Amino acid sequence: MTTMERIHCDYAIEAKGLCKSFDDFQLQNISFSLPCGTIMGLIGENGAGKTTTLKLLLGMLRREQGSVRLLNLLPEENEAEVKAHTGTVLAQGFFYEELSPKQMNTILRRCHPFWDEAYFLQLLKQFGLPLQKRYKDMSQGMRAKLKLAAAMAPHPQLLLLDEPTSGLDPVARSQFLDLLLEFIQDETCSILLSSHITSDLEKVADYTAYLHQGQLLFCEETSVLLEHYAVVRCGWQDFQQLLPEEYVSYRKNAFGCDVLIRDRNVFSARHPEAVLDPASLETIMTLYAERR
Amino acid sequence: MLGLLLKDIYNLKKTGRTLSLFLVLYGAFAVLSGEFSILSGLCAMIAVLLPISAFSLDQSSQWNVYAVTLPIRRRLLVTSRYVFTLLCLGVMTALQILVGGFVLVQSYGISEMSDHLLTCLFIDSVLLFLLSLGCAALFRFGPEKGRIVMMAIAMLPAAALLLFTKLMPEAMLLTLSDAAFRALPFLSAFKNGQPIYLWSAALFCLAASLLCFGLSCLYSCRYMEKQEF
Amino acid sequence: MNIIISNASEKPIYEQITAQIKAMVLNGSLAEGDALPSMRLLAKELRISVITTKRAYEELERDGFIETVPGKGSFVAAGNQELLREEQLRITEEHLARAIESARSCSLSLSQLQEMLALLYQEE
Repeated sequence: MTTMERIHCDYAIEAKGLCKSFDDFQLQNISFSLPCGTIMGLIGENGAGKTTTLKLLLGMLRREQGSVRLLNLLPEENEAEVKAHTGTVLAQGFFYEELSPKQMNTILRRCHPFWDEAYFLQLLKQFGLPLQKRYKDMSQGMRAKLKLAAAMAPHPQLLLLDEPTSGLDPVARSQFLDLLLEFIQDETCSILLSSHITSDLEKVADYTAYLHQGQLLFCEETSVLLEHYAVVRCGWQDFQQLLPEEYVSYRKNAFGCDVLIRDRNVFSARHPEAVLDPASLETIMTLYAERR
Repeated sequence: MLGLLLKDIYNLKKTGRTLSLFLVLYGAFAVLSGEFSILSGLCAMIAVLLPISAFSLDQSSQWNVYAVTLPIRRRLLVTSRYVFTLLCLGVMTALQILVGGFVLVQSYGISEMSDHLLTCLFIDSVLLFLLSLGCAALFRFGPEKGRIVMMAIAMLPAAALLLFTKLMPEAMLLTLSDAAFRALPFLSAFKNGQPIYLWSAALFCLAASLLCFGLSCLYSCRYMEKQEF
Repeated sequence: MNIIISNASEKPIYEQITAQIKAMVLNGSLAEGDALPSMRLLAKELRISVITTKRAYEELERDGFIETVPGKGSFVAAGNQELLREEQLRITEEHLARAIESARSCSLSLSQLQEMLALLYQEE
């Protein structure tokens, strides 16, 4: 293992105008920046383009337009360096069924210049993963933890995680989040994670980006989102008195409406009698999707 | 490179063990009966089977999708696969030479060794050529389709030759072969079995096959560089 | 040091943190020069965003309660006596305002209220 030089930069990820089209889907003009030392959560429905975005960042898919900088390096020019400082956990593909973590270690330490065997074994111990157990005999939770251990072993500065906690029980998820928070204690480290489980992101993500049908609808500080967005529950007649610019979207049910408001302070000033409920990321996501 | 080769070895341990059993059985049979053509066939088959299995495993566990996120150059991923194929061929060839040689020397004496080596060289050339086309096909089309392509490549010349000899009337064949011998005089050297010609031909074939193998590797590297995951 | 935040409260989380730290400085639990936990450690332990803790610390620094030394961390600032006194005055005023409200509600006159105040003050 060679000792790693930490890369110092302002932004761990700078994506500008990323575009990619497939037969039935188009990723349009994705631009966002992840400041170093922070966690960004990527939310969106299945098929919104979260995995595609991650793959574009890594160069696994060729982008049609736009540019990417990871850790202030251009992946096209310094592919090996970028990947040496990046740890990835993808939903698909990993290791072979018949191999055990011990064998994975023997293989990966020869493949990765910064692989830290001692750290990998320590992580395995911390996660309670037996060294000799074959991958196919592991539960989903163990596999998720193993993937993360393998991604973290070379002390990366950027973690790209695609739905890392799907299939994990709440206890395991909580432990996983603790690990991520521990990882971010180093200011030069950053995380981009995509997840369905919005409650996890509410807890740990500094920024939240919402991908919907291939478009980035917003990318904001999570606390700002949670503080400013609100839901007004009112009757249909009351709703119809609202102007279109006052709300983002609404959902009608048999007994009233749920209306998503972008700025609760502005809305409160205009409609002081209105009762505003705080909006969770899940609510924001589901109501945003109702936008016509 | 070493890590990638290790991974293939680890993966094929189980398969390897089963195949080794067969090798031991037929090896023993060959030694005892003096008939080693079956062993020969088995070695050739294993030399082709192991790389295909390695490809297959890569595909089923989607290893390439993961490997692309690691700081491993795509070229290395391809080259390691080709090196592994060469290794398999090398090991099987060594086995064939040793066991076959032992059997022959036992039965017929040391003079047969030279002929045996020549045969092995020719078989290797053919196998290497087959593998160069096969590996390229496996990279390009994936193990499912690639396997079919490989079998077709193996069968096609044999089938063509068979058809050709069956369909052509006897007289035509004789005239053709006469014409060939007259046009290419060194072919008669083959007929006479002069060692220098045979050896140079064998080495030439091997070199040509190695060249094909190298070209196939380059082609696959190019293909992998452009691949999307 | 205890910092308790509530997700259910109307108050934004960074305000809850600043309020609690201010209270600790003013009541003396945090003395001058005491080190505060790093922003990242606080974020990790409370399971909130680093941006939130950063904002809280920035506000505390702006209000003069703490000082952040780059590379070293954040420490309770000196010279809080003024602030302490001001804060106590403010609290006293608040209490008095409430007392007045309560007095008005049971029709107590100003002179009666002043009498009551004098009695209580001399008691302690």
